Amino acid sequence: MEIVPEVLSIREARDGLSRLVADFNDGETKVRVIGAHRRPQAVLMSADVLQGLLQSLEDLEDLVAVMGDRDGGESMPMSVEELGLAVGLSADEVGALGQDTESFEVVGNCLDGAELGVASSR
Amino acid sequence: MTQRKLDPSAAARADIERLVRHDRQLAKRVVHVLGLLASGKVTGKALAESAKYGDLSDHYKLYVGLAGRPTHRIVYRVTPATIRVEAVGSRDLGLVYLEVSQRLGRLPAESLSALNDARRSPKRKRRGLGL
Repeated sequence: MEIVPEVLSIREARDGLSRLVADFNDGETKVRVIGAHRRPQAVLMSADVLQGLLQSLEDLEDLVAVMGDRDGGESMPMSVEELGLAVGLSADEVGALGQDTESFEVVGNCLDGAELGVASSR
Repeated sequence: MTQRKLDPSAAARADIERLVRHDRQLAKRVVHVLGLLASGKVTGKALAESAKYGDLSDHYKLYVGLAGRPTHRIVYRVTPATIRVEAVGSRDLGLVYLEVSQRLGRLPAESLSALNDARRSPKRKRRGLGL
């Protein structure tokens, strides 16, 4: 990845914003640095770079999780309520699980041809 | 019906935590369905051995989604006392199965590129963070 070291002033960035964004289309320019008095304060980056960073972060999260499994190894059996709280749902949300749907339905022969599934309307 | 505890792997927990952050409704649906699974009220379909995903024949899959669209799968196996959840993820391009296979060390070498392609699929990008 080419990182342009030049620090653009805020005025330069403002006046040339369209061109700066267009430069990302060439696929070579990935990041531009912006700051008052030529001090790096902010970064303008292509959407592809951001997506790549987010993907890398996700991969790292998975890697940490897998390593955690290998290191710890132990199981932590829990109830559905405990799981809900552990993954970040609120107690109210856990208490209301399943109440946002009218009913569950069996989904037959959908997508990859399986016979059983669970889905319902939002 | 046999009541079992849920035993999500750390990676599966991370899957659900990611859903909580980016599609809370779907995350709540997943947790609810896991509760039904633990209570024996629903069961999944057995997976098989395949050239693409490797041998997942000791695991089951369960559909889950919103608005009648079963976009995601819960992949799990059953032990006498627990439901071991290995992954919760998108069915798009077989991602969830590829992820499970890799997590279990069963991913065929020739499927590694398929895993990378699925992780970077445009549909996942449109949803933001690769769900």
